[in-house]
Amino acid sequence: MNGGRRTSARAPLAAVALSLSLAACRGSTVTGWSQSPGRPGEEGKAVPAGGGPVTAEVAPAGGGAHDTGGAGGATEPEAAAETRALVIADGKEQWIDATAATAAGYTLVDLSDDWTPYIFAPQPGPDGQPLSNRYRRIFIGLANDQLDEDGEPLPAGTKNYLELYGIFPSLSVLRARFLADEEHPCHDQESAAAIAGVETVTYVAPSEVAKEQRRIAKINEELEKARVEAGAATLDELATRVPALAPKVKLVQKRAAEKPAMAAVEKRLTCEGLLNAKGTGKHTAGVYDDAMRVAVRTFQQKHMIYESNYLREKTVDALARPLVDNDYDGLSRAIRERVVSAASILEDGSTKAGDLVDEYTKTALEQMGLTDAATALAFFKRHPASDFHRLRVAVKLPPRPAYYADHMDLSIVVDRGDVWYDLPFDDKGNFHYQTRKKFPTLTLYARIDGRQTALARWRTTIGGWRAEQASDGYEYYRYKMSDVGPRVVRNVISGPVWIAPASTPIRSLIKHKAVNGKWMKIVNYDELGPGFLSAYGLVAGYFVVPGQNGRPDFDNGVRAHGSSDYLSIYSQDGFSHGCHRLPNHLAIRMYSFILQHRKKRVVGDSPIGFQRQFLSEDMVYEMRVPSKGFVYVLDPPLPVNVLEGNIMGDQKTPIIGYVPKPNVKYPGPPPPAPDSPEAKAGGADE
Amino acid sequence: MTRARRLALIVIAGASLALVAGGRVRAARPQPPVKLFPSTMPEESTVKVTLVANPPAPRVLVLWGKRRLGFIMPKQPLVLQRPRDSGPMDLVLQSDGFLPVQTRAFTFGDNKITVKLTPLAEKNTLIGYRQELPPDVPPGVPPDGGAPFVPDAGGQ
Repeated sequence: MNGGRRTSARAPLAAVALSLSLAACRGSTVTGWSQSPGRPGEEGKAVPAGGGPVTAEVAPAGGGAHDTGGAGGATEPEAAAETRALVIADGKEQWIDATAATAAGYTLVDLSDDWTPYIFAPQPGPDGQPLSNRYRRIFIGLANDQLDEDGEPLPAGTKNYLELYGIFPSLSVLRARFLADEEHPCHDQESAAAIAGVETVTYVAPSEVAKEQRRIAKINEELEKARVEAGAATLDELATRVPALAPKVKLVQKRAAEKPAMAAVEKRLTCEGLLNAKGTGKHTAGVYDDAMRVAVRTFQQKHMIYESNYLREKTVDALARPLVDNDYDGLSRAIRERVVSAASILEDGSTKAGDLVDEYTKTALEQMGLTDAATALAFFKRHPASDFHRLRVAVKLPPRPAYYADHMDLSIVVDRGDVWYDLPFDDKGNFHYQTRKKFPTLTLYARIDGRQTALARWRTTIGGWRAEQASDGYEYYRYKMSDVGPRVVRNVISGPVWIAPASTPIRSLIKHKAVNGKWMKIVNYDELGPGFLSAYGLVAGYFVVPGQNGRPDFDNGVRAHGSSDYLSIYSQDGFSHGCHRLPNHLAIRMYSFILQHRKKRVVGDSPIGFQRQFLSEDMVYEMRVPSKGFVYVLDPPLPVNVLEGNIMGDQKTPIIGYVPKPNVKYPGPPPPAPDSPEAKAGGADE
Repeated sequence: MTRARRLALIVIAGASLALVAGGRVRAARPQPPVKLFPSTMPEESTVKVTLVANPPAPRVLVLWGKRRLGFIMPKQPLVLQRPRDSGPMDLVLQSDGFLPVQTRAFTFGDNKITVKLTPLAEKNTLIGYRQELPPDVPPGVPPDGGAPFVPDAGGQ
């Protein structure tokens, strides 16, 4: 399922492995607690949120600042690393006392290899003791190319490229990438020009390649004949003289440019170790086959490109750039998430509230002296991998807006956009496209001076027609509803587990995996979680109707959660099972922000001990779920409102029950669809 | 019977009793844990996963990928010892007369897993079992006389 996500490294990563073995030991302690003690505009706790610019100078405690020792860096003992922060002034790096830096108005941006976003950071329980988050170790292992999605050791040299799924590479991984790419640039002007010469490369199915070549050859012949007849010197001239032939001229010219572009793409992906390498599948030159598709997908994951797995515009652009330039973008994105976390901000330019995310990231990068690929490379050469065991950088960020507070009046509004309840096929079984112009959005509001202000607004999903397995063992369609009306989010779960309802199609609950040297079918825990591929992504907020008069909340199974299925969020015909999906990194940002700006209780790991067996091809699969995830309780809960949207088509209310799939043989009429909350939408808890 | 012969019979009977008793003692003794961790690792850094089958089949073979780990016996669970937090183990249990089961053992801490075994004849009791199709049903036509399917309408 995820075979294309990883690839063998060219360069040995022994140094990274060593650094991580040390970092992992520390990961089980509480060193991450102080990850965001200093907030912009807050000198320690003395300055109220939204205070003016901070002007305090570096005030190192106990003996003043000292520099890092220039190239190679002066590696301090580990104990010192816990208390110091790096500050860069006039291009010179100095270590200063972290507490003093915070007091002086600096924000500490954590560049350590064991960094996690707030939702996975160690949290103290009511007794002050650290609460264990089962997924934290795996998150760190994934970010450091040390573990796979199950938490098992990754084969040596294998790489996770998980930015697209919300897990950004650690600084040690990026350091190794920069150094390796400097040695093997994989970039030449001729190839770059060939790729830059096209906007996209047309996808032709491998089985259609010969046919397509014949078609283009025929058009070429036709145009050549027309050119001679018209007395035109070139095809461009022909297109001008005979406008009716212009589309055909454009087509053959595009195809002609795509050929060298495709060859350059193959060369680049091969050099990057994503194509024609061990374990990447057999590739036929010039053909967009499965090996090529997997290589492109891996490239997109590496560079956080939200496109389908073809040579589309953003992918082609990235392929034309020097590797270290792409690496610099990767570094900027990784640091962006750490800045967002350290400053606990959310505004990203998606609304009129401004783009603090971009502004703060640029400020931090400038102050760190990381302004381009060359300065980043120099930084990584100056700092050995061991520096990233524990490294915090002190930066002065702009003050946060005055409306920031420990407890903010926040709320979520989901607008379902254009909604179709009609069946997507007619009585002859022909599918019909249901056009949507307005797509669903999720907005986080803050009430400021009595007015609702949108802080961030993103595309999300609503439910639609989905396959579901009935009690007779056959799949039917069922409309999966996204509830409308007021709700609240009381529980936020990091590393959530999706309890697959009994109606989940069996095929989605099984995957192939190499287990102890044997390729076999196992329960697809990727889908259940905890994990970045989980149906609930890396974090979920549970929408419930609050219980009245001592009654428990009513949970209809709808959540707003992270998701690796970005195409379902951004494509025209993407739907969920009723939940509201966000790309994992945005869900992490939003819930980290909410948890940092609302009153909450940290409950911690929520054991569940769930198990269920199911049958597939005379093999019983037993799913075992030891925990629901790491639970935070918002108290008071966060208000939510889901707007009905625009009901399109003839069917004005949702269809209840199972609908047979066209052209499928069934043993009888559809069994009744289960009506429990578990069977609805995302699936409520047991 | 001579005295020597009587003495020999007593010795043989005693030895037999001792063997039987010894056998009983052995049968009740738990199997030693299957150690799946480096010999240099201290035992405190490991967890024990105890595997039990229900119903207790005579011999349940436990496989971890290519490796045979041992058998769960009716009164002798199989105990696996792994490094703590070393990731899950995807296991397969096989026993004559029962469907094979794929299950997962976690290594967060000591734990006991009771795996339900389903007799071959009872596979229709499991989620995912597909009812047999009646003969001669053309595709896309529910066997209700060909009446078009009209789904119920209504809100939630």
